[in-house]
Amino acid sequence: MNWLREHKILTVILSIFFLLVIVVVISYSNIGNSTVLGRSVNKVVAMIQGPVSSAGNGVKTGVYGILQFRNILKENEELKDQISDLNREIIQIKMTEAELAELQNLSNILGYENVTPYYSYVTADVVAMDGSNWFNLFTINAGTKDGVYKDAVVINGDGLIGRVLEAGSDWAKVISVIDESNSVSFKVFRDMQLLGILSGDGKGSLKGYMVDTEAAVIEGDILITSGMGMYPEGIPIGKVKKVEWNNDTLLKTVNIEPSAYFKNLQKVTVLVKK
Amino acid sequence: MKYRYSFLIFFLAFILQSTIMNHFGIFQMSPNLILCLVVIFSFLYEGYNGIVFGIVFGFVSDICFAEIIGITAMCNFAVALICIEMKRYFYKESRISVMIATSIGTVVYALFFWSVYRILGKGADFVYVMEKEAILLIYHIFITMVIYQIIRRSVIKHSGDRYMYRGNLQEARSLNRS
Repeated sequence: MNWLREHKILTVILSIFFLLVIVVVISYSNIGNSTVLGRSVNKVVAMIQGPVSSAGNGVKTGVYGILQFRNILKENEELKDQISDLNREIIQIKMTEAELAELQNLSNILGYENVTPYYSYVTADVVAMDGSNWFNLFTINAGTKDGVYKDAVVINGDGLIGRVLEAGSDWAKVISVIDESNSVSFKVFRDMQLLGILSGDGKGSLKGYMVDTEAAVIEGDILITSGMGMYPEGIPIGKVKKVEWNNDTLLKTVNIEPSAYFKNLQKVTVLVKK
Repeated sequence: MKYRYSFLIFFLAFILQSTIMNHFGIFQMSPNLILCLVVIFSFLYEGYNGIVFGIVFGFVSDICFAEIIGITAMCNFAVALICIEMKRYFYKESRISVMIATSIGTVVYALFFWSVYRILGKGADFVYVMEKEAILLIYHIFITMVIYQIIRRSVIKHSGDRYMYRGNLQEARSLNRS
């Protein structure tokens, strides 16, 4: 006790440090489960961050528009061409959809497992991003009120983004697939028999391995989710950047370039089970 | 500086950091404004504003953006302690001292952050982190120098006084006593 009295400052410093260590340990053992206080802080901060983030987006878009005026005009012409192509594709897809609906009806009549679409979509804005530069966690302005729940899958127009780590009433914290320590099962779009498993590589990208060591995966192959685990089938994940044989693990490993760009996310879609 | 003003500054920095700074990052990097403020408040000001708000806003950052709560608070705490200790050895009137304090703060923060996450099995690749930190270091030095220029007059009293003792105030008092 005398030592504590003589070294008051050191005692206070060590006490704070141990208190912080205890908080870290408790938090580590309850990942994704905030306390009431944590949820309240998140709610208040998300309420303030929303308008500020919208203003930032507006300024950025405005400045970009002025600086890149010529490029935007050119891009506009290209997009118009793409729209007409896509319109043609939509007509074809609608025809296929009608056929699919007939098949689903038939399947339901025959008593197979219900094959009607299983997910609905919730669109949300990214209101804040983690400033650590190492990870890609962010907050969106949709929560349990909109049907978002923990572990709901998050995508955008480019492909898989990640999953909901924690959801509040009108906010949700999303962890990106590149920060994910959990593995994601994938298949190669060119040959859907080729299966593999991937996870974040700790360098802001993805790496994985093929289940079959003889799998004929090549550079440039598009990878999609296989439907095993929490991620539904058919979501684009990325493109194979490099294929290597690992002598230590005796596995064919792949380095993957994610299809989504995580540093500039503005809108995302959450897949919500019906 | 009074605690309520410090709180407002830290809060503003936190909101800017998580929203606007992400849109205007250089090399896809956005600065850690809270860390810059922890360095400035701990190194340049008397009192414990740097420690207190470093921990508070570290917690808020973790609650909003991290899987594990408490790591950023712990890192900010470590940086603040080091900066307070550095006051004994460096003149706060010198720009170079502020640069050194920022550099040490940034490196210590990165190493501490990386180590704790590594221990918990969630760390990023060390080389990747250090590459990012090299850019971030320049960014942080620039920001702290800008803030230093703004607050210099309020922090350094009688900066033109050639007879003014230029070391740490507490140290000067203890020398005077002895």
